Amino acid sequence: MINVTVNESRLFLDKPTELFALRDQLKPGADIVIVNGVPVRKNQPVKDRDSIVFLKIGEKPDPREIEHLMMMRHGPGVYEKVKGAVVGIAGCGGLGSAVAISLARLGVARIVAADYDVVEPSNLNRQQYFIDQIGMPKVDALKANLKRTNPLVEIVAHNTTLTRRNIPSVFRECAVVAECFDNPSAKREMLVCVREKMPKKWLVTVSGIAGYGPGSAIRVKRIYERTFLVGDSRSESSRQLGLLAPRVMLAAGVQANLIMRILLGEIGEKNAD
Amino acid sequence: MQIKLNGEKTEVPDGLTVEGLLAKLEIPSEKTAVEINGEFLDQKNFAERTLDHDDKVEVVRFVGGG
Repeated sequence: MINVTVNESRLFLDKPTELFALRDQLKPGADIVIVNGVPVRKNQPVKDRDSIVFLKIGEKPDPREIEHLMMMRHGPGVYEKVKGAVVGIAGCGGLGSAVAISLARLGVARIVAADYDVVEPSNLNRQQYFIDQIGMPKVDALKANLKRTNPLVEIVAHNTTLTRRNIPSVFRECAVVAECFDNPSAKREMLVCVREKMPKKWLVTVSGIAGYGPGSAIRVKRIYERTFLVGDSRSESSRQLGLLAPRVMLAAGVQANLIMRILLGEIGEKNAD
Repeated sequence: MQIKLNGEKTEVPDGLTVEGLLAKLEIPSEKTAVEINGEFLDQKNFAERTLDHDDKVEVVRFVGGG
């Protein structure tokens, strides 16, 4: 019995089989054959424990297939816990755009993204947008990018300024909100608003990510039971100290990782992070 | 008098206002959330609100960049 995986699904073959014959049976017309991570051009016998991928260039996999293929790499039990989650992204700049992509790849159910701004050339030094999106509202550009990343995720885009008056309604369905603003007063407003009006929500705020200081200084501080602060709490962005992709994306990664841990139930009463 | 500032016992002058506390800490008030005994204080009250002995004060300061 030959035991292989084909496109992330287990398959048992009860007789010797050639690779191209298997391709023609399972994915006729496939342009690319990958065996154990290496694209191959020559026919060969299928070996026990081979991991095989058949791809047709330009083919859009159907949603169920995408779900299966992507989520196979999550490891056991992870997708089940995140696939119903609704997460809010307050501000879609350097932090928000990166956190959103991470969570879309994780496979959350819905991302609620809010920002009033449009994509500008100067954003491209750190934000997850592209040259052909200059002038587009950020939430629209982000939605388009997320749809190309994982079409299964529902994106709710709010092209609006967030204030105390609309934050509760915009993020009503969200279990967790990522505070990704640039302006420190807005960060303060978000903290107060969530703590006063939505105390059951988890909030991950960010403070201090500018410059090119050590990545290890980007820490997680638990400031309330359901509120965390990511950053070094010191590095303020200014003309002298810029916002740079490596450190911004690192902070966004820490933020998204913490959100993932919250969704997976890894944060108990005593966790620091 | 003694207050608890971000969990630590801290000696401060009697009658210190929140504004005064932030000035001592060299923190700008418009970027700072201040909670006294579990309730957030509106920024417009920072100058008038005086601290009392044993007050539990939580100060979260934000810096810009995102």
